[in-house]
Amino acid sequence: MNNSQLLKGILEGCVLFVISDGEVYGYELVQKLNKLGFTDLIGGTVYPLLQKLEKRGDLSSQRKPSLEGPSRKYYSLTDQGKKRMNEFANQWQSLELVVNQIISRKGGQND
Amino acid sequence: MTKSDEVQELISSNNDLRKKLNPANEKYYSKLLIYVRTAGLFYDDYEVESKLLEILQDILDAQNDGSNAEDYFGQAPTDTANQLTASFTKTSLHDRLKFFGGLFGITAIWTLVIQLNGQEKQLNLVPFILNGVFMICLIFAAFWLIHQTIYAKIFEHKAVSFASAWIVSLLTVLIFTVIQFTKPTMLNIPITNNLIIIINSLIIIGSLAALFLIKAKWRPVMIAAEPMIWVIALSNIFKVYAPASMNKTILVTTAILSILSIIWFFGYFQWNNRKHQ
Repeated sequence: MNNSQLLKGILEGCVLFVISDGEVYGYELVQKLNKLGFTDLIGGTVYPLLQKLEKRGDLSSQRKPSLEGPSRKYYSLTDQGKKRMNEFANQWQSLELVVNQIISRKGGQND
Repeated sequence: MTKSDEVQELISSNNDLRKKLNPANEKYYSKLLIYVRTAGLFYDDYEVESKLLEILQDILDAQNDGSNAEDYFGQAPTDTANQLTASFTKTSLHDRLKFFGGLFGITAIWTLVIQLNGQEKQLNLVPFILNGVFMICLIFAAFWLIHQTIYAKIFEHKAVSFASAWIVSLLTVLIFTVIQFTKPTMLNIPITNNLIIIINSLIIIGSLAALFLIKAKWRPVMIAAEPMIWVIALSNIFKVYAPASMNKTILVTTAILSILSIIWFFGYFQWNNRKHQ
């Protein structure tokens, strides 16, 4: 999957889903997203997104003691974030259905 | 723990952790750090330092996993930094006024000490205003210049950055000197000997009190500047009491002690910077 404007919008919803599994810190989140298929994703894309989601109230953060040094900032999902995550899932599923229909129709014509 | 103490703790953790970066990652991160810190004077310090420490900790993780800062954070660090700074919380109007007031206060004390050291027993209001305005412009200009040039390839040459620093310093000294001589006579306020003694005593007491009252992050500036303030203020007091025959001795002693206090000013700053690197 390559980076595009479309990806940025989708990434926001995916970040909410990944964080819903449990609190994470920045690097951990980038690693998880890389493993899930966002192979080209870099930290530079994720930090502004985390900041935006936190400012909007979808995420909350807390500094927690770390074994390797100073306390670390962990992000977790808020109730508002859970609601937005569910909205994203619904929107994505209906969009996916519509897009797949359009693609298969076009594909059918080509075939 | 106050918010200011928490900010100091974040900065101190950042200084310690940065030592663990390899040279290439250190260069990459230090530029990013300076770029973000100089993006503006009125962003919430806690938010800025918290984000910088978060990024540093993650770059260190990437380093430990065999990756480098550029691979992890990206080839366009300024784009990410611009997005982050655009969303940082701005400080309140009250905090901004406190900042401007503090700067005006410090430059006013300095101007007062310089004017009291003159031969004519009078104060002039114009340098007070101009010094304050110039100091504010200077700080904004310094932040802007560093922010704009930190990623410029040409400033990576030591000779270019050294020459630029010299030109800026010379211009600063020149403008400050011109301001001290800008004294329209209609704005002169005559002062008595008693007033000279009272004001200088208050300056010494005030500068000592400021050491304990000032925010921790500004304390090194105060410690560096204290001897300069004491030397000139004490010389002002002695000049009032001493007989005319001693004027030359006071002048020479003040000059020697002033040079020593300037050496202390720069020496202390250098020592303090090394301590935090």
